[in-house]
Amino acid sequence: MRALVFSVIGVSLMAASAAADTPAAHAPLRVSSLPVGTISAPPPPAKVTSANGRAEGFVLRRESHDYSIVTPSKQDPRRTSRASAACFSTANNSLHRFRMRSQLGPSAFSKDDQVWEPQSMSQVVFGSRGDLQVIALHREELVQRGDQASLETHDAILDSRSQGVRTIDKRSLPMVKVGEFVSGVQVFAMQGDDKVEFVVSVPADSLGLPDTMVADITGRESMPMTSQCQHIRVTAPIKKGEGTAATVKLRVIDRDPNGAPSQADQDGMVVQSMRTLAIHLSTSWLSGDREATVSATAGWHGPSERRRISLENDRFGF
Amino acid sequence: MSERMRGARARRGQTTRSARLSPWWLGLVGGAAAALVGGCGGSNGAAPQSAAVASGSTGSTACRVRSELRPVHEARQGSTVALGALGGKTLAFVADEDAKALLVVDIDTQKEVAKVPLGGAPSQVLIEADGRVLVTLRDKARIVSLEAEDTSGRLVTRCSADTPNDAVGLASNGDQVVVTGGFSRTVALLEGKTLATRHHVAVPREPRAIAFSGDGKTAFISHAVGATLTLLDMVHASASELPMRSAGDAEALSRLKDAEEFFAKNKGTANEAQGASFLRNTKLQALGKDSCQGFALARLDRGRIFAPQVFVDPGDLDGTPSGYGESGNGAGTEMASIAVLDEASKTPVRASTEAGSRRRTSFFSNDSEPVECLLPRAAAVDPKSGSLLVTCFGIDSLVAYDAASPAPARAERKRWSVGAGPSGVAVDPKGNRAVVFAQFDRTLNVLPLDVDAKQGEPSRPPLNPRIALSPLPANEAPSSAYALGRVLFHASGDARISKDGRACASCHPDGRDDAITWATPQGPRRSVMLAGRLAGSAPYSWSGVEGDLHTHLHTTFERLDGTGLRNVELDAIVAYVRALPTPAPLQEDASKVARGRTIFHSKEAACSSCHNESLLTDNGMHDVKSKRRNDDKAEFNTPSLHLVGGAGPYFHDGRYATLRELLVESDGAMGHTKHLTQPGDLDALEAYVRSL
Repeated sequence: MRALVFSVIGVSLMAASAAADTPAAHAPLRVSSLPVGTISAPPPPAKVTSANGRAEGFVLRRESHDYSIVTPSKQDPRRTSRASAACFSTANNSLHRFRMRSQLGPSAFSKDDQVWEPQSMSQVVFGSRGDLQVIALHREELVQRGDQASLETHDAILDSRSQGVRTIDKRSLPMVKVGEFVSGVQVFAMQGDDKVEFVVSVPADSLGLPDTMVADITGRESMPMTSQCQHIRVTAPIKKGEGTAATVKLRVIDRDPNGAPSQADQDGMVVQSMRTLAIHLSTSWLSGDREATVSATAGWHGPSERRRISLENDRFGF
Repeated sequence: MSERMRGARARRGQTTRSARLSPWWLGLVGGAAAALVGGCGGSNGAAPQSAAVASGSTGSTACRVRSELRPVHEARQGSTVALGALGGKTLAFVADEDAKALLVVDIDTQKEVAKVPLGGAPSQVLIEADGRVLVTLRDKARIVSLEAEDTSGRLVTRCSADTPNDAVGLASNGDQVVVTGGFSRTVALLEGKTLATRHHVAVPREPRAIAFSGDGKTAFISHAVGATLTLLDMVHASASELPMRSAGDAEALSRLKDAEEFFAKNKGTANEAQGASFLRNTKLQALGKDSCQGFALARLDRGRIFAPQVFVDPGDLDGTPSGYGESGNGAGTEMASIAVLDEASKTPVRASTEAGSRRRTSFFSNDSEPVECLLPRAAAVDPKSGSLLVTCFGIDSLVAYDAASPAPARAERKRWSVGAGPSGVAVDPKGNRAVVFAQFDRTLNVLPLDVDAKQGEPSRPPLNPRIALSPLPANEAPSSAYALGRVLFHASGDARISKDGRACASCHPDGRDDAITWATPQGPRRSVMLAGRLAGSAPYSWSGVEGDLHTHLHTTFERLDGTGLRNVELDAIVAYVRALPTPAPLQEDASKVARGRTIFHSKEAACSSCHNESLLTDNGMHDVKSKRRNDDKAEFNTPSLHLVGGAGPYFHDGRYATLRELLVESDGAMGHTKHLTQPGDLDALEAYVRSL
């Protein structure tokens, strides 16, 4: 049996919206019904060479102490908020090097920067001067259109010495929705290379998003990761006679559908009920299956808690 | 344990004919839409009260029925509750052990429509496709076939037949009926229509639930103890075993050789204990943990068999922990699991048996894990929602898991609170509901199978409305102490009893033993069977230091890091364990037993020098040369040999897997058997001991 393998690209906390419950898909969902695609990966450090020039999708900016990468989002800006729409990673998954700054509007850019149409852009800070010189960066963003979505990936080499960017790979990978749950949580999937890629997406148009990761992934060889983008990608291998299972836990705002909206207090804080939602993702291919099947289900995990959170500054009160 | 097959027993199936309802009876009872039949008065006011079966002949046509009753959902396996459709109604047929009766409840009107005294304790009920209602009687070693003569729900007995003793499990593939005899370690294959015995097959300890493969040719049989699953070939009536352990860690397996070398290098040095601990933990990770609590099975149409179970880490048997089986690695001694068996390859899916530690991080310190299902008792699949439903003693819940997941135990979708002691579950897919029978408080829970998480759902699920079954007459009802003791005995997740969630029933399922040797402060200690062995057998425990059960319980809860129970609660547990239903001893060849008795009581063998009197123990302490390095002393309390045949492994540390091994290997240290050179003498001695 192949052990569980997870590639966590990014996680985020989402808040609730009044999404409808999914009609359960009780017949097994076949892998062959999923669109095909392969996600690129940034080259390993040994193969990373210098870069000059520019590439649509990345702007490398030198700041007083740090370098930052600014990339545009293709998401509807109404769907994005304080969390970055895109997820970043490097070949060694050193996501901890990335620290979210804020979303930027077009006015934050000078005319020397490449300007893109979308109003919202993700800015991620990495490293400090002299720390990172040339890195290979993987950026991905889930762009949703109803029941369909695409995973927009972009691999590039960023050179802090020249402030140059060189694109290595750029893809638009179609995905299909395989699950929709409470609080607007959705799961998309695609298949390729004897694996299924699940992407768990949570709407960002909500109140009280904390800055730090609140998602938790369990399973053998899993690693809890921290980042601040709006989706979590889980890679599940497929092997005949075996199965792979993963659980992604998200802290969502659990709104009482019959309750009145929360009002902010004088400090700009509101009291919200938050609850962990566990999303169960799996692939399996046993003797009784003509082909591999996938499953995405969800359930509350643990009790609700009430927290004071800020509507504006993502501060958590205790 | 090697596979054995006994010869078929050509015993006659017995049939009975109960008096048919005569017109004037119909006039009296037929007027009531939902009549409750009194406890002692006969079944449905028709036949006399006793369900004792009159003799009949094998192959009789008496078992045939012409009933309109049909199972709501073809499950092919029994439970303590089954759902049938009759006359436009959905009826629950409840095997009520306490009432010694089959109760019939209209789950829409919530009214009890019939009570059928059975003269024995029903363990499971199954509705056949032709409308027959089959019920196994655990304490009578019988299976009874009943028929609903009309649409009221009242039943009459049509025929019955012998089963193995301690009949606990029931299933039918249409052609054959399979009955498991828990304590008797036997599976009976009966002819489907007449219930005549076709075969008896010997299997490991405590067979319980049965699930058929889709083609009906293989029966998967779970075992409550012993970390095994039996695969029964229904065509050839032969059995093989499948070990049920957690998946070994390949990486740990590759490290095992290094760990063994490290231990060998450090033996006798200051680092010996560290080396031993490293080797033990590596072995455990590499080879996996044994499973326990195999009471239930369920099947998904896609060729998957689900086996809820619990993985156990009994601790380092060469160590001296402060409690029972302290593992020291923070993982806990027990972990709930659900094995998924590939029906065609007859092997478990690895993902379902991985028992790695659950690493979790959470930004919020209050994040809490749901309490695990450490005492699973029944299972069923809801095809509509694609959920596996498992009832859990202790937490008294029905839990829904994703049946499509290769690791369902990690994919909990929802859980409902139900009554105490949920021993059975049946699914009504059309009505989108499940019915759970809570045996301890004798209620039925009817639960809508809405498994999707919703906003604003209460964190603590509310108690669902329950249907209370008719109260038992005072002379039939268990005492309040017994009733409370039964609940407490199965209370998993109760901090008063243990810190890690174990209940008394974790080590003593059904009041018996788990076949596991645990690391304890006094050394390794084998769990002992409780049922039928406590009266007059003080002092208690292998060390014999506890003169009464209260003290023993107190010590036990201390070792489990529980905060302790009040005296009235201890009284209740004592009342319960003293009154536990006792299985019948194993049946052995009479001539062998007679010869074995003589040997047992002979001066040469000297067995009866300690295992004497009616209790088969002198209640004394003896040194039988069995002390291990980390045992605190050499003398051990003489255990009673009552019902020893159905137990095992043997000795205080479980060193002997079988009675035969014990009789041979302990020669000179505990009694003598080397002198038994006559052919058959050792067989006879073993047969006698097994029959005790």
